[in-house]
Amino acid sequence: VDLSLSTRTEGDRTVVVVGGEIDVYTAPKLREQLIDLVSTGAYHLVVDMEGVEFLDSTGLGVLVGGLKRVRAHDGSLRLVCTQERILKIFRITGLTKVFPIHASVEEAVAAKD
Amino acid sequence: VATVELRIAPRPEHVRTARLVAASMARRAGVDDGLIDEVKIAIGEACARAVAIHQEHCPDQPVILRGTDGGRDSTGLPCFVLEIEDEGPSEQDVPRDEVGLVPVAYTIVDLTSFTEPESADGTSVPAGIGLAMIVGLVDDLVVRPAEGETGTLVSMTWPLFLADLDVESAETRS
Repeated sequence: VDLSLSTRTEGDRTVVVVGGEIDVYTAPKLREQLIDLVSTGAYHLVVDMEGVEFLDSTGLGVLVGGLKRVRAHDGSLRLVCTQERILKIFRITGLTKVFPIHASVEEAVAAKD
Repeated sequence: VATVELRIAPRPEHVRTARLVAASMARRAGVDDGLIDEVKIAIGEACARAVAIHQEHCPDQPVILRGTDGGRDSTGLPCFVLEIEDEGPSEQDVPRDEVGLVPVAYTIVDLTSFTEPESADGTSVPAGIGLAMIVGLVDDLVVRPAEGETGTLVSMTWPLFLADLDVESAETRS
């Protein structure tokens, strides 16, 4: 199991579908993807975490970095996650207060600040 | 008492191997299925932290993972023990209270200090975040200087008394 990444556009949002394991080895790939998107003008991101099997603090760091980048352009970064084991990681690090977390891509795409 | 020791070169691609070995050991020792995810996260954080420290200070030295099913936790109950030992400067990123334990308040993450890894290969774990996650996940955690002049030992335990009950009922059946 490695990290899989794909992107698609829905309206003014760019959806990044992440699968597999985000850890100290694979997180740099996700970071590059987020940097690429922001550099091409995609400032409203939805990161779909439903296919993520493992997430460590390096992955959290990359997501926080992505959030900082889009916010510099008045953008947004929303997460889609319903998996309890992944949600728990956001809770124990206090990051549920930082990221809007949605139950579905549809909900995240429709969400306004 | 079954003990397994794993030595890994301090490279990020080996952290996953350490997670899988630790999870396998924990399952075999009898740690409850519902806790295996926590074992994987905790050992992954401890290992990633040790790998980052070794890459900075001693890239030729292996990081050591040790697992045993013959431990006793602080209340005397049988437990599965995982230890990660690094050879870096002692506890450079670990705040401690007066008796040398990691304070509970440390579980609160300061987001202003939460920065993205800056190194080109993304291996530098934000200082303290990995340990904060471990503190949030593991009830029985000890961080102390390793034996010898350098290094830190992160020791974590998970209860095995559920497994003991299973063993007793299995013996009754046979």
